[in-house]
Amino acid sequence: MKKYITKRILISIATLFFILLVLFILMDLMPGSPFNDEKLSEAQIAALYVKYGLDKPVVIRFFLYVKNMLSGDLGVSYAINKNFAISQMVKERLGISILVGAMAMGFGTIFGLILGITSALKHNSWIDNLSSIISVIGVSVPSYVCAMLLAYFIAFKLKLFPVLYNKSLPVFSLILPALALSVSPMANIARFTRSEMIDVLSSDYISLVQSMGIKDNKMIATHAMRNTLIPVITVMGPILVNLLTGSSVIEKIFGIPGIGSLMINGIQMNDYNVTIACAFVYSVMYIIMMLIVDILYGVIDPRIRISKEEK
Amino acid sequence: MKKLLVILMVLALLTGCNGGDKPTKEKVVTIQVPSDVISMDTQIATDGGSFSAQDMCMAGLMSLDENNLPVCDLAESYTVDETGTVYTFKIRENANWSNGTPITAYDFVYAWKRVVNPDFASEYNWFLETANIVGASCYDPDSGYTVDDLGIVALDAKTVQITLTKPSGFFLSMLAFPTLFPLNEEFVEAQGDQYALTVDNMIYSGPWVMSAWEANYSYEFTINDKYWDYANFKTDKTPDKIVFRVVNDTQTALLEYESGSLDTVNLSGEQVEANKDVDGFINRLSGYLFYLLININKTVGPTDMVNVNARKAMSYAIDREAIATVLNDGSVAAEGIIPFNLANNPETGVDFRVDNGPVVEYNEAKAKEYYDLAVAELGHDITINLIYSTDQGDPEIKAAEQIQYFLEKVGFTVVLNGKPKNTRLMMQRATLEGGKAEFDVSLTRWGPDYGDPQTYMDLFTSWQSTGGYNSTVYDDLVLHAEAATTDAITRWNDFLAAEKVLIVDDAAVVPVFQAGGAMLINPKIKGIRFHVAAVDSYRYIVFAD
Repeated sequence: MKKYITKRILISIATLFFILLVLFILMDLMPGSPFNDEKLSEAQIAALYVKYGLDKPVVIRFFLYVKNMLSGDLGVSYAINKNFAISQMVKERLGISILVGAMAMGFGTIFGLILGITSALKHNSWIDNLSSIISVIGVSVPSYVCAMLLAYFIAFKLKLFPVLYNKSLPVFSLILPALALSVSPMANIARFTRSEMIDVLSSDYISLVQSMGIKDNKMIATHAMRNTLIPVITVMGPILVNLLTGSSVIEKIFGIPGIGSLMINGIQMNDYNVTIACAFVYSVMYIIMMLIVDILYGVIDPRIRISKEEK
Repeated sequence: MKKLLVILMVLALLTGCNGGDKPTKEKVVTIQVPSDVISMDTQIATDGGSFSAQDMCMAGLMSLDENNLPVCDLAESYTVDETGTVYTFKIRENANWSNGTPITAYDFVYAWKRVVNPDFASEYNWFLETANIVGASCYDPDSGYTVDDLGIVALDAKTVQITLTKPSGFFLSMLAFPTLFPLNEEFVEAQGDQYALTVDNMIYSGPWVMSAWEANYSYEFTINDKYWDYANFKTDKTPDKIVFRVVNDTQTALLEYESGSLDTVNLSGEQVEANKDVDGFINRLSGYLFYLLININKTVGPTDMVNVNARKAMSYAIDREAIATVLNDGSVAAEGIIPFNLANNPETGVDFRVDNGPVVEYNEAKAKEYYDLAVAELGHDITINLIYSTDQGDPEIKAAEQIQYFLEKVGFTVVLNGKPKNTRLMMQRATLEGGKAEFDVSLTRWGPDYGDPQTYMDLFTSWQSTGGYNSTVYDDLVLHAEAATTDAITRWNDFLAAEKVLIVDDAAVVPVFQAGGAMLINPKIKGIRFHVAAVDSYRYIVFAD
């Protein structure tokens, strides 16, 4: 297992370097410049390129960037918050995005599992149909529609929660955005759980367990759930990364200073360092999540663990 | 156990709710802003939002009053010599930085030399050159000047002398712009590259101090008791705190305004129509004038825009009133390249726009006439490749579609070529490199840097024109207007004539609309000063009686 994890980590690091290089080349090909003031002359723009080291060839900039990055320096912003250290900008905003993403994941998982398991247990009943309808709506309605509805009815009309994110009440003011974000993962998890659970429930070993007279609740909790969760975890990994890296639309609606809007701004304003840093953070999180999912497999399913150890 | 958990959670939520309220009721005014401050360094910022934030807590020799006129701020008095080029300012004895150090003439000398220093590479270094300060072009290594040649000198700690290359009617107004505010050398140098990045890395010369700044969330100001005019600023009507909250979504912002947690909100699209009868609705004209920049010296592809009749046909074809109606955001039809409320006649005080009257006209019959003339001269129908910005929230997309509709009505074929703003600007710049840019017309805009027609007129001189317009008549008028010996009224008349040459005679640019800015302001507050040609000022906000 250790050897396997070490190998995976080394591959991940190599992948990240490759991603960084591709990002650099893409940035270089992007049209426009971070210095967009209509009033700047060519000479002034050239002077700014020199000032920020953008006049150097892309390969040299890449190696300089990697060198600085290894010491924790992600460069400074050229356009969004001029001369601010990007490591600081990313750190502050990532924290908020992770909080709202984790909350959304929490809501999505809890409601998704409840919905999925109930409809699997009550297969082909009205409950099953209802939960299928909810799932379809959840998958097809974009999160910003839910966000607008929640903001208007729950926050503005009923005044139960604030519309805008409030730094002094972070968790409380993030409940609505997290709910809006959780709708789609909830629906996905519910659909997945339902179909897996139905499969598991009709398998031979469950019939065996039942024939041994084990109570339904115990049977579901210890035997059916475990096998259901394996494929569910596979889908949860990418969903979680998506949620944690922020949604610029939800951030915009609820006024949340998260990393999603930072990345979009970075792209629009040609703030190369910001875009690269955000994309890189996204990649790191994705790769780490994949790694965790892989390891979790082993924990949940002894068969996978054993086969890996044999190798 | 479960019950206990539920009770605990409810309690946590409730205490959380109370935690937000302050024990004593603070008088807070909350202003909605669509984006964060980009820089608090007065010499690095280039955007209106940052300049407005700086205007709260920084001050210059002058500030602008309600009527847009310069009045003394940090300066106590000033004299001008008989040539009109040497200004001597006496700085107030009680003008101090927020840390108690006196604001001196050296602070101005240091700041101004910093902004034009080529090594500093400020994006606003041209501003001093525009202000006609001697040696201000030293940021350009080819200018022959060095930073030491800059026309500013400290005669003593509280007296600063500034030398201009020629008399300037708008110099005093420019002193109210943050780029020309003082900086304390000792403090700024001690902060190094951290200067102005956080509230702890700044000292303040203005009526407020920045007390908090959370990136992309909010920035706040509390009153500065070291400000020279503190006694007049601090009354029982003054807010304890002015908060600028970043709310990017206009729908959310309006909900928050209606629920009372924001005191101002910018309106967009249909919100304007729905709220125009609401108490507190205002429509302030911005200085941004949108116009069609014509790529006259294009050398690749069709070069039909070189034909003056084709250009005149375009100008007559566009129904500017209709476009303003479609935009429905407070924008108004342009009547010339100089926007409304920019500058006033030095003798009569009449607005430039009124003085010169409308120099564009919507007349479909005339448009068709000119179009037919152009087609006869060129020998083929005319297709226009129109570029415009597609960045979210900009009015260009709607406007471009309207322009296409009106131009096609008289016979043109218009290819809409939407681009991100970055790319559009890059294409416009490419016109300077031998006309290689592959567009015919660009829907672009210009925001004035100071309240004088010159800020627009300079754009179309042959040595600066991005569209390649080259007219000796126009150049001569502008040169004459800007010559050192020209008096104020002759200068004004030169500009009036130049606008007519540019638009009526040559149709070198086609003005379309002046951007509006509809907003709601809580009737309980007053004192926000909107300036067409300068920074919007929130420092005078007070509670209404």
